[in-house]
Amino acid sequence: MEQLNWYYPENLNEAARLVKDGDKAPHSGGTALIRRGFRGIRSIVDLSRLPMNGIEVQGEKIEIGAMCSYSEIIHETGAVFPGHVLVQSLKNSASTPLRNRITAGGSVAAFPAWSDLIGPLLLLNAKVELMGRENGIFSLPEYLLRRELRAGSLITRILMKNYPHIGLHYRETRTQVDYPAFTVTVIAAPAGRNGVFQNLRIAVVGNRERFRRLTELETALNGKLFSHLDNLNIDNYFPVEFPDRKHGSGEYLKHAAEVALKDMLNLIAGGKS
Amino acid sequence: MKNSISTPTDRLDGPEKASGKAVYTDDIRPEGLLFARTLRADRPRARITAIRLPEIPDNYFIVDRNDVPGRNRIKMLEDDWPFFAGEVINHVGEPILLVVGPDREKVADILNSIEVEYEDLPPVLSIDDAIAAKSPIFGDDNCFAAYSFRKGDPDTAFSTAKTVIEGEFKTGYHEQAYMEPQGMIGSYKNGKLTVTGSMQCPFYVKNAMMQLTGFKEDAVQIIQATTGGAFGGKEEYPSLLAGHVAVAAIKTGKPVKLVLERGEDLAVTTKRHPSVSRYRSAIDENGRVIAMEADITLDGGAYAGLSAVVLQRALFAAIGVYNIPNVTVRGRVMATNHVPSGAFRGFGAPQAFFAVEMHMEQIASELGMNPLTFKEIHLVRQGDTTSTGGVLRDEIKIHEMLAKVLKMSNYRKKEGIFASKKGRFRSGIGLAIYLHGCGFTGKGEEIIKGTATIRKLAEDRAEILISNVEMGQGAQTTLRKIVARILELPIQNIEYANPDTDRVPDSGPTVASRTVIIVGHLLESAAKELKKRWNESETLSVSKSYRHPSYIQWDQDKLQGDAYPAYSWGIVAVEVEVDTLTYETAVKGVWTVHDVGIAIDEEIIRGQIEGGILQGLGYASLEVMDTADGAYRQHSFTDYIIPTSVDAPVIESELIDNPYEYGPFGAKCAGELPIAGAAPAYAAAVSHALGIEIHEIPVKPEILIKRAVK
Amino acid sequence: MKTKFTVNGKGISVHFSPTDRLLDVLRNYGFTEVKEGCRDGECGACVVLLNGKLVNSCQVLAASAMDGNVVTVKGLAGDKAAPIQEAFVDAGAVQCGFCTPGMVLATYALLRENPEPDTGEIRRALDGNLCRCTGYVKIIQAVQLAAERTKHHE
Repeated sequence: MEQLNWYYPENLNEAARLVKDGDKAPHSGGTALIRRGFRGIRSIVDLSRLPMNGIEVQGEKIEIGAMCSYSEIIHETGAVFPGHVLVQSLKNSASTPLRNRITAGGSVAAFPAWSDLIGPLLLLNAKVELMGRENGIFSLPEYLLRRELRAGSLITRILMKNYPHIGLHYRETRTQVDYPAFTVTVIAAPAGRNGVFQNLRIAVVGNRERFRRLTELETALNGKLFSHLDNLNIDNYFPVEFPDRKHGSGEYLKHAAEVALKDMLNLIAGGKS
Repeated sequence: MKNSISTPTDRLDGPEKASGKAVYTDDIRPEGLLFARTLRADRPRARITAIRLPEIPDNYFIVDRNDVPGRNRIKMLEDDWPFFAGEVINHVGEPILLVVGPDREKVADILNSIEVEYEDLPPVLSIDDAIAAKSPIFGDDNCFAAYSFRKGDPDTAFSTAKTVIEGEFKTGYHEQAYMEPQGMIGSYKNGKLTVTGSMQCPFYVKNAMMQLTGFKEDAVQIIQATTGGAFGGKEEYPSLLAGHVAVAAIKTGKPVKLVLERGEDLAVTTKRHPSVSRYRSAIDENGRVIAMEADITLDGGAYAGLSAVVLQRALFAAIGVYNIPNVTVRGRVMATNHVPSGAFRGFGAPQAFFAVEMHMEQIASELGMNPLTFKEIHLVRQGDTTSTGGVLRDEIKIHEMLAKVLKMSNYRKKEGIFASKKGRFRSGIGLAIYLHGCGFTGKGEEIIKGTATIRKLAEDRAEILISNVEMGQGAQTTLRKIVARILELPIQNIEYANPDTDRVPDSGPTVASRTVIIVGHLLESAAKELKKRWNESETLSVSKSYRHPSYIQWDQDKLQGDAYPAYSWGIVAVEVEVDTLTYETAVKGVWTVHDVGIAIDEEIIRGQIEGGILQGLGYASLEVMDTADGAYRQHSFTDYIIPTSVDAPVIESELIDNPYEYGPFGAKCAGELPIAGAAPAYAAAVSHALGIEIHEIPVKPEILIKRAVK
Repeated sequence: MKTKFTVNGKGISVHFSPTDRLLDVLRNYGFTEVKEGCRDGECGACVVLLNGKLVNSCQVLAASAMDGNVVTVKGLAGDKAAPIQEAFVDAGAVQCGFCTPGMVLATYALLRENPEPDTGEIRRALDGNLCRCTGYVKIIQAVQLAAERTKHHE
């Protein structure tokens, strides 16, 4: 019989106090905890009563409360701009009922290899606001890379800077409803008349290092004419390796990622993929 | 046709299922219920040297082979499959003992603290290992069954052939993935055992329980609960689960429920036999196949089960729909330390049809001939002999069906356009032609000697009493339709409850696509007599038993004659688009025509066709189930993926009438037929798109990448 | 642990263990129309409406749904409910029936938001509900039929 204590903080200070010692697992209602199982967990801090499920999309500002579900993000962001990279990435994620439960905060905190959320957040230079052992605002890469930020702290909000963009998201799956082996997300400023890549940003998630901005490729293409893409060998700018997964070997996955990326860049350049 | 029986009627079980009122096995919760969980072997082959139990609290029980009152063997073709493992375990997941008790979590805790000590034995983990028979697990040679038969003079044909073409074809494991996991409830009261559960064959379970317990017929009662899908997966395994709850109920004196969790169901229940088929054909100077040799080997897993019959059906299907004058067919099913393989829709035929259809594609390709034209030249006609020397007595409408499919799919035009298509995305269209022998193979129906009864209940009511089950395929609607029509009563006035062996005669199992053609025919016959005699009395019962038509001659020893009384036919065309950078393949269209004699209900038949085709497409592409060290690697629906609503292609299907004299209202069989052709049609389509031969399913992008001609 | 759920409009007090899923609690309290098909949130046989949203009850911990409002297939109310169930039967979309309650709920959730969905939207709305019997063809037709029949209602 599992002995598990549940706590239901009603305000953020109380929640922060509970998670600070690192011996209580925060739970936002998503699937991470059930998938992981309860081994080694004695207490759970349920976040559903906290004021963290708002989402604000206004001008350059996007602020997502940690308890906001994928469905809510899709709905709210989509209402303002249907082509938004968050909509493109999340609308095919998981399944309809799962999107109603998976939360932004839960997804970032758990950061599974198949997350559809991390890529777009990286590209929008997302920051997470933490409370608990750590307090303050941290860049997403820093949060993902520094273990010590995760234990004992709660994500309360995810903040990012929005800008008009074309957003594209690719998930490597075997069926249309499947956990992706990896994702590739691309955003770029809408093309002006001169046909030049502007503000191009690319992220890969699910690789061996778990995530990577393809800054080399961004540098190679930003400011260049679209035609520059024709002679570019993506492989030279793709210092990313993948582990073997059930979808395919690491080698196959790398190949698939490069193909998908080329397709998306071609789409941005206005050509056919 | 107006007022024809084929006109769809609403399914009678529809409203209760759509409203959530339908009760499945796990929904049944009798008073005082105990829960059972199974301790299973974690390795493929070993001797159990010690079992260390924790302290077992009051009201909790351990149930094992020592509690078996009668024989610890599941009654099947051989006597090798134990309910509870003996000293030696032969596959991962083999049941060793049960933990039974009132609290599910406590039962799980106890289970998890049992320690088993093993002495590993050298496992047989492949067909090749099995054939080498270094440390056999069955007999001397690991062979559950082997058969062969010939037609004509293949030796001469091969020696005089202009060309000989050989190919090897492989198919993998295939999981039934019924949405309702397997489960049983057993209870023992006043010397009577009752088992209720999800099953296809109540009398198989009854006979197995009688052998397990030693009880007499009237002390064993089996009741089918509403069953959430089966597809053959609930033909054999339910007897094992029933035995477990039976022994537990007898020991504890309380009702015991055992329902498998999905992960457990995926890991330990029977799946479609993997196959390796070697074909060899002799072609004359006119490009005609004059002889064909087929050699099919199946992986039967650790216990014999029904593998011998699966092999038979595979062998009888080995030459497909083609008229080849000289034929050698042989095959064997090997024992390995894998989970026992078992029945799944098609029962050996899908493996054979993949092989023969792809072999014909291969030959056509090597001869430089159009594959469809090549297949057409060889199609059987009415009056031709089968590979076992039987006669195709009935009208065959295959050319009419082919013309229809070609029109529906725009096949010839697409073939032309696709062949010259360049660029990254390549299209392909493939076609498969197939049949299914209706009813049990060979002498099976004679052995079962099924009996069906109709009982008059009142002036305007009657009841069907048979042991066949509704498992989604519509039996509780189609069979009532047949009887209602003949008795001229509203269909709602014909009762047909989930079978209870205390109340129904043994009309045979719900397998082999026999429910309508064989049992429906018995009901038709009983209904006709009952109708004539209706006013004889207030209560009246008419029973009809199977009588083998004398013109169907079959020699089970030589495997010669008519393997089946009738055949249903199908043709399916599948169009695909392949991305030649990633080798991901999308199905763009499916068109199909079937001859099931006469559809007792067109909508139900279409439902069977659509479902069966999607399963066949999954078999060819998505549904990967493989093993490592004897265990399946796919433990959940996250790993073993089946098509979802977003993946499912649009399927256009038509039926062609071809009434069969001895089927009810002209019906033949339909349940298994649709699954046989989808996989080879898909593989052929991919093959055409890429200009390569395909010899194995599932077709994986990674394999295509390595092989594709750039 | 203890809480009060409202299930199909009626309040019930429930006791459960801290690791129980909502699915377990519902089935333990007799709501067996909510099925367990997979335990992984893959098959959708366990879906319910929780506080108005379609969720996999096998992926919701009962303790995280305290005081929740749950609607199962038996609790669907209003003008859309019965027509959906009838449409499934009329379109021949019911075979073994195990996926059907989940499909009906997913359809209900869809039509509530989007009374005239196109085929792509229907497929997406049902992407969390597996069916092994039908090939989905008649299920999609059933949803279209239900939409047709309910679009003139409120």
